[in-house]
Amino acid sequence: MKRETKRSIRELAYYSSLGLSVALSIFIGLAVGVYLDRRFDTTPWCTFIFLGLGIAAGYRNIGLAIKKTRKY
Amino acid sequence: MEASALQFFIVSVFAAGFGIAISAFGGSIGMGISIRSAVEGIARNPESSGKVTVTMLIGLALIESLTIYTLVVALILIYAHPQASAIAALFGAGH
Amino acid sequence: MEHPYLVFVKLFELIGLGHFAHAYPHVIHSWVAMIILIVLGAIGTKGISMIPTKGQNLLEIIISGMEEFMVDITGEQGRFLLPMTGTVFLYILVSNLMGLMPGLFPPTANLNTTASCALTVVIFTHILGIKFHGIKYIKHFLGPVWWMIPIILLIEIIGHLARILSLSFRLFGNIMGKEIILTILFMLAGLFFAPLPMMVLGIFVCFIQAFVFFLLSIMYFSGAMEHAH
Repeated sequence: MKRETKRSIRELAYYSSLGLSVALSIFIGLAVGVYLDRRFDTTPWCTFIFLGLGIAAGYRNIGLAIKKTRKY
Repeated sequence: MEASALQFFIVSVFAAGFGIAISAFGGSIGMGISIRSAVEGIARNPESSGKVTVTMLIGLALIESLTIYTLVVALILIYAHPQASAIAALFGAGH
Repeated sequence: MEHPYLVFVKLFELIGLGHFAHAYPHVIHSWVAMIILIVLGAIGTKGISMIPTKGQNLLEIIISGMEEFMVDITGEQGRFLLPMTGTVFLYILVSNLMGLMPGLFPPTANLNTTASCALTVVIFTHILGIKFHGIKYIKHFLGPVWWMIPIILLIEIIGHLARILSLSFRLFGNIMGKEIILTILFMLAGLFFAPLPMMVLGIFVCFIQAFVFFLLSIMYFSGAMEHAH
């Protein structure tokens, strides 16, 4: 395999996993919030806080990917 | 009670299927537009192909994430609705 | 899901462990994958010599190809990672390809197997980070300012959980989808060889998914090793 082909395969694999991790981190945050609400009986608050943290984690993944493209 | 719970399940499956179809429709149109613009840009200026490709891949990942939201919501609706038993009880009380 | 006729489950029934085999078919078939890999390795390296014979030649091509690909990404400092990543690649490839044989069940079509592989990889990245950076590795999780520590720490933990889930769910979803499509096509028109074109696509999917798992684990390892710069 040529070096150029290898690099494009690597980039394709990395960015195709980006969308999945952005979506999944939001739902992890939501699930943790719902679980904590049921556990401690503080109905809406934990869900909102952890949903916000999950959205922040998803956008942090995008930020890391953009930082990675600047390096080349 | 039994029939209304079954009705709730049927409605959930319908919503999941139509949600996936609609989100795939919109996402594919967006992906098509972005790929067309990237290909036009590369054809006009072939030296910029690396940067244009990487930027396009990030944009495609963002569009794809919106479709994956719908996928996860559909899976939750079918397999693990958090308030499924409560809603089924509500249907049973109403009838 | 109702399983079709599985050879090794019937074999376990003969011994008398039928209830275990029916409850956990993925465990038994992952043992089968391990046995296949161990037997192939033992046959290939039986008469090991400087001038390689047929089996040794094939194994050398596979191993050196993986090593070259990996060193190209991680740099020379990551050459010692080959046993881990190579094992993950070969194990997932063999377990994916087992699904194409009638009477066998691919162990990666169960979430437990894929989640165990992903957990091993993600925990090993943290071990590598601590090994390469010492106690300073924890600083990467804390952010620049002290009052932002709880927010940044929670965000980082959610991001690393998303890595585990995305690795395991991608492999599981692809292999499970292939299995369901093959089963449905076989029930609809098995007499007319309808699942045959899907099986050709299935070989492609097996290779691609094993390769993507291998590649992403290498990228996570290299990210943990050069985190400091």
